[in-house]
Amino acid sequence: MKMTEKPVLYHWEPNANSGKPMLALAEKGVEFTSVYIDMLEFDQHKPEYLAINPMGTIPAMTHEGHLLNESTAIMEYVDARFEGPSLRPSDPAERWKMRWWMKYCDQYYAPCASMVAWDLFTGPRVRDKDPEELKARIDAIPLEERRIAWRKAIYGLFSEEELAESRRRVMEASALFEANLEGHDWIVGNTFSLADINAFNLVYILPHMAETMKLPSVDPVRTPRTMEWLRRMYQRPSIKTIWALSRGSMGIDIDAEANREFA
Amino acid sequence: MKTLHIADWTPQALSVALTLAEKGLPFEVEHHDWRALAQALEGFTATLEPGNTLEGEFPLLVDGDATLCDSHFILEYLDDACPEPALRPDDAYGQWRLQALARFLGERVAPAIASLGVSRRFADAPATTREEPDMLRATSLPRERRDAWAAALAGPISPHLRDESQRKIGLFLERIESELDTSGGPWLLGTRFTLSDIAAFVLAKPVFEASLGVDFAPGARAARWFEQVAGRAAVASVLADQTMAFLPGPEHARWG
Ligand SMILES: N[C@@H](CCC(=O)N[C@@H](CS)C(=O)NCC(=O)O)C(=O)O
Repeated sequence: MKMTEKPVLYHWEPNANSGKPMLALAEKGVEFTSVYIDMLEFDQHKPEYLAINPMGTIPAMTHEGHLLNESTAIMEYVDARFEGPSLRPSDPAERWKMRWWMKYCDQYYAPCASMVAWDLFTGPRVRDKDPEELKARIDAIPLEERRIAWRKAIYGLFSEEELAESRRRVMEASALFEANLEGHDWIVGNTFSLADINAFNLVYILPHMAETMKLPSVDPVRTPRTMEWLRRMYQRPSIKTIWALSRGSMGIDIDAEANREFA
Repeated sequence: MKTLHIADWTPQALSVALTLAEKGLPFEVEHHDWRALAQALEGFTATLEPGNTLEGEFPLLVDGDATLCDSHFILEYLDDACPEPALRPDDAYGQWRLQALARFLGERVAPAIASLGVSRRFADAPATTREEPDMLRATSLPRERRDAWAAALAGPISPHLRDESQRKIGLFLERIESELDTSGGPWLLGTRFTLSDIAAFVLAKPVFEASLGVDFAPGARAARWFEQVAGRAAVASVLADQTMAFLPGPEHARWG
């Protein structure tokens, strides 16, 4: 593999979709230029950013003249394109399993957790801005799906029914995730992979949502294996690397998490 | 020997058969009656994934010890396990394009095609096909899958879902044009025929053949691409034997 230029990563906090390529790059030991996009200030819909990523979503990465979006696909790119430890199992069936779990996280587990968090955290965080300004900001969102999501979060328009369904699914998904960790340390077995990176960015917040959002999905009693897995994740040096790029919005003490004791 | 388990030749089931044929890999097909599909799935509970896959219950591919589900990942598995002839780009950027496109197809296009196709199939089905199929009661299926089946069997889709599906198919046709524009063709990702062509072709087929009860106007470039895929020997040989049918597919994303 030839030497390659430094990628530029546009990201928000080390969390959800942004956290995936951040952590993959850190695990791989790839140096990158970090550009912090403040999602709560709607930086991702500003013309400067839309000129880079017309989808108006984060994360996005530019490298060798290409724009890359879709966080999970970016992670596979990172593993394929750069030198460093391999983050995908070489056995085809294990690789299949890695991809299956990433989709389950991306399209089932994460969106449901996200809906609950947007209703109770993201919406309220931006709600008290000037109403005219908020309206203009919503109108500037390029993807229809994201426009709807913001409108619901800002004006508190999620229905009871859809919130209850999302909560139910988080409970189901966290139980399935726990069941899958039986007998091995990582999602795909004994090999750490992109699936662990993917899931970490969604799961680490859940123990903290148990009380604040009344969503008791991941905790030492209900999901002990998941809690141990989280601690193993927090102990990886890559976590420190990416938390250095955080501006604190997630409010997580990574040292405490890495040293958590369970009764 | 590989065994492809299907309940009807859905677009996703066809994509696996097309990939096996393109690679010249022998396989058997085992058909399961969709009315007894929850029962059929009971044969696949040794691993967690088959009963929880987002795409729908079938297809599944059994290859030795492995039971694989979710069609696009089966396609990638086949290219990982049997690399010749290669059906993905060699470079990381090309592979990114393939996966980003797969995400779009699976998340936006597949639900739209399934909604319209299923609505057509079951809207005026004789009452007998609607009699208490077992999956409506099977607690082994995730609740949202039972709901998807119940909705499909209850009659035609709502006007809202129809509009939403049409909107997504419009985006699909634009995307095919723009991919061909970017790559210069003749295939979606450039000069190599890839899994992207297969995954997009099976979804494009009912649109191009106007079998969804809705008229679309594909661009000239997309139409030429479609003819070229259909004309490949492996594709033509699979399609000569099978007719596409629709079953409840992945749900429309509930969260952007
Ligand atoms: N499928 C995309 C989704 C990207 C996405 O929706 N990101 C969220 C943040 S986690 C976002 O951009 N939100 C800002 C917005 O909707 O304006 C990916 O995986 O990268």
